[in-house]
Amino acid sequence: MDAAVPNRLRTTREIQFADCDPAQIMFYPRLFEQFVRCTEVMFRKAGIHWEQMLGKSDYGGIPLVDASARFHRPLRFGDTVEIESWVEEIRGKVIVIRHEVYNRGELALEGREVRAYTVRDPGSDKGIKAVPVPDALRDRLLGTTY
Amino acid sequence: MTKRVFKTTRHINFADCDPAQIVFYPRFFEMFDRCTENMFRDIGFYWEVAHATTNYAGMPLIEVGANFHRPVRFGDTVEIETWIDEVKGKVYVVRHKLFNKGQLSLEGREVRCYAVKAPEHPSGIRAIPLPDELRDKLVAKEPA
Repeated sequence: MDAAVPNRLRTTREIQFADCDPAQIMFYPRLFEQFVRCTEVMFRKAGIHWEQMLGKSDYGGIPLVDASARFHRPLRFGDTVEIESWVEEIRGKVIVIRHEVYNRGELALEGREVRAYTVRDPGSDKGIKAVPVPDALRDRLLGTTY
Repeated sequence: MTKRVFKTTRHINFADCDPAQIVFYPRFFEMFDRCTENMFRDIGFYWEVAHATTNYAGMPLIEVGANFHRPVRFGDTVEIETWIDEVKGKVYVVRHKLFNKGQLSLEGREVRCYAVKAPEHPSGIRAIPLPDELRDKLVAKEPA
């Protein structure tokens, strides 16, 4: 964990009863839920409020293209973990977000979300279409200091 | 290695979905986990029984991933195909394909190992190769 990196969102999270499975470790889909929460906070700080996708602008959301995680150590019921999240790359329509979860200073797992930036497209089947990330948003996502 | 596919039909409920009225993506990983568990149940390997009666300690994940092609909506009924794609040393790869109205909506991949209790080890478990009796039932043999 690098405290000197200012553009990473840091979240502290206690691993609770409701997070865990019968093996008394965090049930892994809950980790992806946590990643979504961290990503939403990063977007909020960059000025994109996800509820805007529900009708207040032409923002259509940032649907996932790919999500993955690599597990190094389990997270146990009662642990308190630190999560670092950051936008690693913005390439055209695509945004790559990374998450690292540390447990007592040790890297426990790594997550990666690849998302597309979309606007509403009422004429299409999906109702949205992917477009390049606007420059102003790109600058905010890559430049936000937490 | 020929694949032996286990099929699941799943209705997409209110509780699966997010404010955009599509499946909240972590729910797909829950579905995949259920499919993997049920694949083992289909061949008579019940995780909770094995844990209580043998030195089985679980099937920890090493890596997971999914590629999303199309959204899955509240009210859809989907078909999930699950199979063991690869067994390599102590590691095996479970793949899932989720179809919605015949179209591939997403693909998932779990890299797991078979673990046994190992009190002498700091983590309390250690990985061993997938036992032959499971492998023989889950993975179709190459035609002679």
